[in-house]
Amino acid sequence: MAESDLATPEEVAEAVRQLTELDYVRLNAAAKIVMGGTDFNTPEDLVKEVLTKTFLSANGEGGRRWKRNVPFMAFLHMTFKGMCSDQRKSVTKKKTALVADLAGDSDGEPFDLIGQSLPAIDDELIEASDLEQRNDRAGALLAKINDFFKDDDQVQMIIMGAEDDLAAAEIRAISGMSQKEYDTAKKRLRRGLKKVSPKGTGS
Amino acid sequence: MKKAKAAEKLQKLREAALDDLMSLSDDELRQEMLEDGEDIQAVAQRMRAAAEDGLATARRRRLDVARAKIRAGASNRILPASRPPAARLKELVMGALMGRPDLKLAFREGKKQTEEDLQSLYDDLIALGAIEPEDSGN
Repeated sequence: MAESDLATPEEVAEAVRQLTELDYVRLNAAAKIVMGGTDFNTPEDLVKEVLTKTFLSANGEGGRRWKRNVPFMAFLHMTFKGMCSDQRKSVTKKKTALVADLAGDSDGEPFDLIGQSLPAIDDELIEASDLEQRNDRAGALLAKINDFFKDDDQVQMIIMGAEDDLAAAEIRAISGMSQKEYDTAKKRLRRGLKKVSPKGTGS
Repeated sequence: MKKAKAAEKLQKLREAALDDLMSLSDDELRQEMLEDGEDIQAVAQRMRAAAEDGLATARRRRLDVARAKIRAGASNRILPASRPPAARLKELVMGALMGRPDLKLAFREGKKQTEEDLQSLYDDLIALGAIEPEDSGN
């Protein structure tokens, strides 16, 4: 990536200044979709963090850098998604490693860990339990979503297709939906998710 | 494994929803907001405030890093044995900052500078080579 393709901090600031009212509304809606299962409590928290990091990255401090030829809103959406996904994975990795250790998969005896640093282990046990709870919440939310759309065959097809990693064309081919029907069903899915989980697709 | 899959499935649905959101035109988005009874202005104001807060946080961190570098650089240089009188010192510091928005960025704290602050700024500006040292004039 050539340095000359990358935006400067001042260009990032200028791009933010140029965001419209509807851009912010869109960012709010995007944040609610992607921040579930992360430590971000509100869309404002996420947008603040993303812009802090984008500005500092443009200043050469590491992280995702905005390339000028990518529309700023598209970059922000990708960064929202990436940052939330990274946060969820990092929580999962830490907890998975801990759970493996505690189950005795490591070389050391699991009870040796307990002897080392009780407060730290207590916190981590609580966090491992939190991971389990998050997955339980994901399962519960999926059940609510499926129930909400139980009478909507087209959205059900999109949900199943998404779960099985099918491309849009494959979903349309299997379901017989036209492009327009597919797009409308996807819109119903998104708006339904908002109703099922108004504060965000949490898990 | 089953429970981990639930989280993965939810992630896929998020992505599908996000794709759909990004495909909406401004008019469609506005219409949806109105249908859902959401206050577009209020939402936009909150998000704009958060965005500006994010930039302000980043700028403060950048200042802190720049200041730390300047101090680190300054500590390796030989400082003047004496300084000019306070009024002249202030004149020199302000003069140096006038034409250098990059230095203003590093030094501006939005607070009234004490004499000690000005002396410290003076020393740093000499260390940076932004001004030539002057003696006490005595």
